[in-house]
Amino acid sequence: MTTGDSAKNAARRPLLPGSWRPAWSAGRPVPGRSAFRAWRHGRPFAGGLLLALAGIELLAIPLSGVLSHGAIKLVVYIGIGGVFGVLIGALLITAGIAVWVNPGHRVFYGVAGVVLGILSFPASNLGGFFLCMLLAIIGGSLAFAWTPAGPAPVPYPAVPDATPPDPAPPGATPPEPAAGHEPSPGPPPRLWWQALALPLVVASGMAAGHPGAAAAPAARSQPSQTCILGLICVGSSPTPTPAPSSPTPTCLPTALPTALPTALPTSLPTLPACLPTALPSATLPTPSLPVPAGAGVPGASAPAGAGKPAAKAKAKSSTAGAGLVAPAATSVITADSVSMTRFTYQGNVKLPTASGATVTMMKFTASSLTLSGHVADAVTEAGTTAVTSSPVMAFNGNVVLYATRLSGRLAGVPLTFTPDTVSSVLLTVANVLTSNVPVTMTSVTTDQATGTADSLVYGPGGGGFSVVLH
Amino acid sequence: MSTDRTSQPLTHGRIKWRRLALILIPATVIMATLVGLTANGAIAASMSVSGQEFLVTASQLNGTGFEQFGGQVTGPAGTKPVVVSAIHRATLSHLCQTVTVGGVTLKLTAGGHGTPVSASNLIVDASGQTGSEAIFHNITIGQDSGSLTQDPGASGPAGGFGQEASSVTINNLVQHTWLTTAGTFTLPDLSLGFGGTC
Repeated sequence: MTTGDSAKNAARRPLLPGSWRPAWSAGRPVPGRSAFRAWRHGRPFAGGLLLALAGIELLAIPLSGVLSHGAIKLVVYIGIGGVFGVLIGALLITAGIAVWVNPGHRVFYGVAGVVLGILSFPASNLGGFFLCMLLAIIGGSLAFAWTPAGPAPVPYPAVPDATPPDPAPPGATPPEPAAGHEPSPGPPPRLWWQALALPLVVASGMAAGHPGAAAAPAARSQPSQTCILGLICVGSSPTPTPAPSSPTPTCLPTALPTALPTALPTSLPTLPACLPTALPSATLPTPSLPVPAGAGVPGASAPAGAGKPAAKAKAKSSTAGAGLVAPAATSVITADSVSMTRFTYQGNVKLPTASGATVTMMKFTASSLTLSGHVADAVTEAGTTAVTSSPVMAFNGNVVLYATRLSGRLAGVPLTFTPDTVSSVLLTVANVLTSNVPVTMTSVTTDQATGTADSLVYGPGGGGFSVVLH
Repeated sequence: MSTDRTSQPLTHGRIKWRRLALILIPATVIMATLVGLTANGAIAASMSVSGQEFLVTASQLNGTGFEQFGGQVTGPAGTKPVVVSAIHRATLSHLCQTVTVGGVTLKLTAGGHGTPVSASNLIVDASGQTGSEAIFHNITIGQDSGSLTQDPGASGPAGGFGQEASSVTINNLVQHTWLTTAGTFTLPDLSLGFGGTC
């Protein structure tokens, strides 16, 4: 590659006008590809490019999801782990650009790139499905291994160490300008320490930075952590590993008991003093308050016996008991038939909506409610209809159903219930509807169905269901 | 001087192979270790995939803290309506997922041998979903999506249609999704291959 490039350069040289030479040698910008080549050869170009590409790839996979769900909301929900990938991707791009801009720090950026690439595996889509991880590790390694040769107009600090070797700031004048090459006996001890730093950084990053390990079951996470430490240490250096690897798992149990007794005696005297007094005073009155209120309102209104308080009590119980908020979206459930046991009309109630208004709905209860035959639950909002269809949709146990409209055929007679007409219609069929015998209606349509049940099964016994968006 | 420079281009750097090996070898060892531990389900990985439609299948999904509501994702062809499912904790048996990255289709399978895949804080934006059976416990249908409470932290826009359940079981799930994200994913028996469908 080197020889080929220089040969190409040599072949191109005669084409350049002679007047360009001073500019070329003075390092001033030269138009065209030769200038780019000169710039490219003056820094670990390939390493930086691969690092930046790795970061872009890592960013691209989750980015649109993060944007469409809202980054902050997503962080709040899934924790920082969910957007960790975005952070690592941004850092990789930064490292790639930084190693171009400041090749003197290539060792730091190279190692950082390798570490970030490895961390991206658990942190973000298995390292962008391996691609980012491989790019970052190779790119970081290339940046780490790149060394300038020949006369060096670009500053060449020998190797920036963790320990401050020179008083000169990095990127300043070269400390060893004479040779321009690394002294051959020099690197091994230094480099070994640098190589050691990599596994240590990864290990600490894995232990502290990754929230997944903490969230995983304790039985699993502990062996995994010991494994990581053990294997990483074995892989990096033979001597120091046995010492850190074996104490680290035991470190947690020992550290906690020692930390707790020291912390607790200071905090405990205040805490127990607070707890016995605070808890009874705080908890006891609050349960006692709702109980008289809850029992008192019906108790007070029932003896009064008038129509108004009864209606008030009914409305109160429905809104308080349900905790439901009716959606603004349009929803319609249709089915060939519905079979209901202990189906009872409970009156009209007002359900709150998100906008603060209320919707008057009929309230029904049943012990079971089974829709069958071309059951379709269509929800329309924002111009899109989502249809959930199944041969059978079965509600069981404490079924409470609210609807603005319920229509169908009962024993062949078409019926339509709405909050306005429900009472008069029900007068005619009350004896049928409130019986304990299962009631079957056919060609059922329910508008704005809202409700709760102990269980709901779509396609019991493997009947199947599908959700389709139109 | 100038001839010297031109014959030897400015700071013509090169790769020192010994240095390369020095960092590449330990990095490879760590990488292999991490991949191995993840493939055994010992380490949880964080997943967040979006921006394209891909296929997810599972022989069974069990979840607690289930919410579902309507939403939109922004894809290359503008916004697209989706059904958003949020599950606080989920296990998936025989999970299979295909993803296209840079024109290459990857097929990821996990949880096939007894131990299911487990995920926490799972959000799936699906454009279509089928299954043989879906069982919900303590279901609420027709709840305003802004007031869902079963999965703490996740809720939809106010005014939208939502439903929630304390637990969910879906058999033979097949989903076309635009976004899958989970805080943690443990992937026992993980295998990644090129091409193929679920």
